[in-house]
Amino acid sequence: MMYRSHPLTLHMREIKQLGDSQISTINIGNLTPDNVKSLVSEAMGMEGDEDVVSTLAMVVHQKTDGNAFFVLMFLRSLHDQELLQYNFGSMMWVWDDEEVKSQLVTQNVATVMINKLKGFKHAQQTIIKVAACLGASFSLRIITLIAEKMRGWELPDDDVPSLIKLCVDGYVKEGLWEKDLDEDIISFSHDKIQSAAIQLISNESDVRDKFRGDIGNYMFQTLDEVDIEENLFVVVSLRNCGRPTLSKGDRKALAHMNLQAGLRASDNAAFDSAAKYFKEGKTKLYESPFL
Amino acid sequence: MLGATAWQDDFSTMLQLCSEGANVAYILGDIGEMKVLIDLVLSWGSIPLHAKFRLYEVKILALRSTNEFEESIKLCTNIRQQLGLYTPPNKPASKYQLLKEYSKTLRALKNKSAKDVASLPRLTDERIIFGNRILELMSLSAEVVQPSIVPLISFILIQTSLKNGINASTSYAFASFGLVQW
Repeated sequence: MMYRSHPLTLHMREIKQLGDSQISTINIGNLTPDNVKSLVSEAMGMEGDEDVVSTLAMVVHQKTDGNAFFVLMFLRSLHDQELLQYNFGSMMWVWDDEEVKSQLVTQNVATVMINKLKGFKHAQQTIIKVAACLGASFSLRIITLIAEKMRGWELPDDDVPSLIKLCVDGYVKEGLWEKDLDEDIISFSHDKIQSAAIQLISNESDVRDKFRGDIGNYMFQTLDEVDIEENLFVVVSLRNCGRPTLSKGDRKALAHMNLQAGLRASDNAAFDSAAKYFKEGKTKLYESPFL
Repeated sequence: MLGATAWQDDFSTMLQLCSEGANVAYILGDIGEMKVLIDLVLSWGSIPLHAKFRLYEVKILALRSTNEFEESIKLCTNIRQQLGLYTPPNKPASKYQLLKEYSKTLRALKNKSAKDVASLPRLTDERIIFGNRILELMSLSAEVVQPSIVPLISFILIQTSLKNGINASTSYAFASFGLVQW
């Protein structure tokens, strides 16, 4: 399991760039069915009694491909759906093998994840959708500013800071988000969660793109120059997703932003994305509803 | 013409998008896309030379990368001509010519330490900046097909730097000058 923005990953990349030390990667791979069995039996407090958990462990392994993070997610979702319960009489975890098998046979981890998100309040879902648009990690300050802009429209007319706090508490508790050392930065614990949140926007890519474009425009309207400068790639990419309903002046401004983003990407040797920005900017200048 | 208004609308944004796009396409090895972008701008006549400079730079680099050295030297000479700057012709340089320019350069450098050169004013004349960069690129191609003019190019670059001011091309000039002396 690779965390894209994990400090270790970043640090390793830096060390590699220095080039004078040998780094060898040890691939750990996924858990085997036996590993999952031990993990499940230990989690249930049933060590040494592995036959009891074998069916459950088999289902878990099937659904998660032995990915450790997904195993935990999956067990939690079983608990959420009360398929896995703690019996206080016998002081043991209980479940029905048949029910676990039959009820979940069509669900894969992605669906489990989306269903999990659907369990949250609507406003909280909106926030995680916005967060997913911002990237694998994002700033609480920025997302608060965007949410203020959405208040009374996509979001209920509530107090935004307390809504954000509710989201952070809830999502961090469920292991979907992680707090950074810097209190303002939050990351998705896994990219599958981020993609589940994007799926949550809509199944149709048109609708998702419109949502992204809207978020980009909110950022453009709300953030000050310094913030836009800092989040240039995100703002430009999101705005590019939007439909070409912008006015002539806006299109020109967006073309110019694409130029800036392309130049910066080019400076950072990210030539692939630079090419995309330049191309997008060119299209934006050509596009005209009047032609 | 579709998009004609866009051109006039924000000409400089479009020009930069195409030039930088061509540069990135070149770096990514997408020569086809690069050519499309360059031709697009060049087809749009009556653009002042300095506006097309970045584009020409990419084109020269691309010609070099596809081993079309003669073509790239030709283009460099043509651009220098448009800038009204002297360029050594693409033929073997005579010993006399080399010695003459060498001693001229040495004389210009007399009593100047490296620190003196480094503290010369920055080059600001855009025409000379373009011209120097073109010479630099030309020297890279000349190394392959016309090596005897490479020293001439570095002499000219040094003399121009001492006269008009220094910039990035100056460091190239002195590096190649060092090679010549060695």
